[in-house]
Amino acid sequence: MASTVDILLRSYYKDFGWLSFCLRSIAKYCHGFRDVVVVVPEDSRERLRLAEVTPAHVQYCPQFPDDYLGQQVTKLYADTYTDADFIIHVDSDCIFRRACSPLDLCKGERPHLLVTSCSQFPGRAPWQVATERFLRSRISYDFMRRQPLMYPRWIYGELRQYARNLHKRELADYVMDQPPLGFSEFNALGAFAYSFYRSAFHWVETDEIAFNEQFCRIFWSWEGLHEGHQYEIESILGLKTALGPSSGECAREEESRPCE
Amino acid sequence: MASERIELFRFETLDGPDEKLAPAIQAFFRRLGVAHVYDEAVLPTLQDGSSLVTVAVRDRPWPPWGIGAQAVSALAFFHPVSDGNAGLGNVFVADEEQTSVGLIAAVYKEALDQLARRRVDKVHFVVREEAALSMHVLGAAGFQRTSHPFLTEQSRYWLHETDIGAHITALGLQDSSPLELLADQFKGGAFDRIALFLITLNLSFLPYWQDRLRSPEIIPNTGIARVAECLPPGGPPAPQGEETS
Repeated sequence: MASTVDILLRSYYKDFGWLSFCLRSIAKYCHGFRDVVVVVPEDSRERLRLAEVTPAHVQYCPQFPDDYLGQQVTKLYADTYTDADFIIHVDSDCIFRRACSPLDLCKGERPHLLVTSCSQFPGRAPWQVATERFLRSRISYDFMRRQPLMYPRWIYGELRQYARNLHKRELADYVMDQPPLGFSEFNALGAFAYSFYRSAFHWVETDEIAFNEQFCRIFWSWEGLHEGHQYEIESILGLKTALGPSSGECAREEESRPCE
Repeated sequence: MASERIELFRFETLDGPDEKLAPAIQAFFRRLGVAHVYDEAVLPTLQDGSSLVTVAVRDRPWPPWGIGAQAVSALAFFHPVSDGNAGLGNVFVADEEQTSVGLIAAVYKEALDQLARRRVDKVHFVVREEAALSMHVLGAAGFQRTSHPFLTEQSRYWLHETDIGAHITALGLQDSSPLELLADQFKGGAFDRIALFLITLNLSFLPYWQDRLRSPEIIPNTGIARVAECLPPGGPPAPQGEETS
């Protein structure tokens, strides 16, 4: 793959314990990526130093009054933190568990995006209302099915322009105006891509409502980095061989079913 | 672990009412058994802009919104604050953090830094005459007794004042950030000095807030910062044994 691919992690002071493990898993399992960029809010700068977490490249984003929404804003402006052709998103509480390269995450120049039909979720897909409110159109899928997630850099600017046209304000302002749990950045990106740039991605439909953990063991940072989690993570990091080959053999890629 | 402490707390400083933090601050004082302090001292002085409050806040892991989502673990209340001068106070601390010198020092230092940003250069305490412990510890922290009295029905108090920079240096905190203190990173023996200072402040000040003693060693300056404006035309009353000019 001739294009450049960077991994971008958005973190903050409460997650530096997780971040440290995540970075170690990237060092162990990820190859073929150009750079790893860690983005933290300005008020986490000194805490990053005191926590002795020393990523090679750190950038600082604005301070947000609600960082749960704020960290989503940062990701939606990912193209302003790196000039890579493609950007990989992974959260601090996701730990790579097997070898991973850019070729595992795309088909040619089309990133894989896993989708699950909203009808698979009991009741309602968790982010369906928020995403439909943003797009102002119905959606049929949930687009946040696994980590890492890969997007071409041009899509972020397109999404921001879409927000300006539709909501008459900047995307950051729209997101920060939402109520708690009122926005999902990866569902917004995915639904936008599916609606307007479908051919630029390789869609893989899955019936599973649980997160796909093919590449990353996904934890929930709010639970805290307790002993059980640490033991599991250290076991993952202590594996002598990666689980399965990498490059081009994205395990059990299903035939992409036509998505409505 | 120091890194865990850094992840647990954040600091906020208020110089006016804050609707979002008010419930957490009220609950904090209630749990300490001094709920009246918020209604009688903190809120009115925030409303008239004459105080500064610095808090160490813990956020509930999930959800971080809604009732009880924030909890205050330590609070510094400085009053009065005006025209380059500020009355300092103790740091109120939740029971479970009473011996967390790093946390308490961090809140105190953050509050002092905030005063300095607001161009306060003189700070003071109001100390009872012949209060041996408080006078000794405050003296070591850079304070000197002035000629400004403060009289209650029970006792005579004196303003003890110093430059804010001199106070910070005397405590050995000039090269320490609040976050470093939170991480228990004290430089050059400052831990002993600051621990003694803060514990003494609490011992001396709390009885006033708890209404336990008629003459606590230290009381808040519930007058105004510019004490000289209160002086009678002939100057301050002389200390015992001295002739009035």
